[in-house]
Amino acid sequence: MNEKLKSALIGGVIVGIASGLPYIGAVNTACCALYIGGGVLALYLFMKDLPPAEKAPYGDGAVVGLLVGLIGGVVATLTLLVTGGITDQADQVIESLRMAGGQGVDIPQGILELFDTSGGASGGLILLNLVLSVVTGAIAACIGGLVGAAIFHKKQATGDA
Amino acid sequence: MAPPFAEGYADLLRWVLHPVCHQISERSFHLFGEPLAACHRCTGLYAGFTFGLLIWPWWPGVAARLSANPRWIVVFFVPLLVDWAMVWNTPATRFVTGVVAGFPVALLPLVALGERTAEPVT
Repeated sequence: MNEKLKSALIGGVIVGIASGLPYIGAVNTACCALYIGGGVLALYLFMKDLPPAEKAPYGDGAVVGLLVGLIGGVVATLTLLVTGGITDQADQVIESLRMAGGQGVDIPQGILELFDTSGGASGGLILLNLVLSVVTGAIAACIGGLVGAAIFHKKQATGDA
Repeated sequence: MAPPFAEGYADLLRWVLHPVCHQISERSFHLFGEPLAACHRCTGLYAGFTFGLLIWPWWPGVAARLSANPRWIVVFFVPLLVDWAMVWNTPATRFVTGVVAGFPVALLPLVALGERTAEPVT
């Protein structure tokens, strides 16, 4: 398997599972710390066997980080489905929306239906969660990948070919 | 980012941004009496990062030196970590240390973009 993809897969799966778990997933509320950490981890795995180079591979760092975010976002949504995290969050939102509705604010029925989990999480809610996780995860893990490239870059000694 | 502009939908907007920030009201800036959907520190990080994206292309000498020694970027996170660990931090220290940490990170995507398009930024 391609070394970039392998590193991204390991980082993405670890980050995705961690992000979907209760309590551990809350670490992401510190500026997506888990996704940033996943990007850094994937870059460590990718770069540990690379020979020293003149420049840090920022381009590769961004790509690997992006892949970590995409994979992590999908795995996180699946984990949230298994742990019931999606319905817990939706219940809080619908309660606030209903409260706002009670105060005279017009809330469209479609939005209320989207967050209504009385019959389980709706397809729209799962899709919304997936899109949010993938987009935010990809941005954060991409930054993590770039930081990882900066940290783990082995500089070529002067005079090396 | 600003729930005040979305009466009735503030909670919905906060839900959209909840994966990236704890959004504790006492630890967030307020606009028109409503808390923003990101805390002081996250607001600082985003502001620093945005500021960096705008400034680095106009500061090529420093950008070249920093991208040649990229590990120095980690040093800019030290104030943020120290502030985070302190009990007596304030909104100002949280915001400023966020700006300091976010600013140099903006250089990395610019360098990566330059690398990808074969037109180095620095």
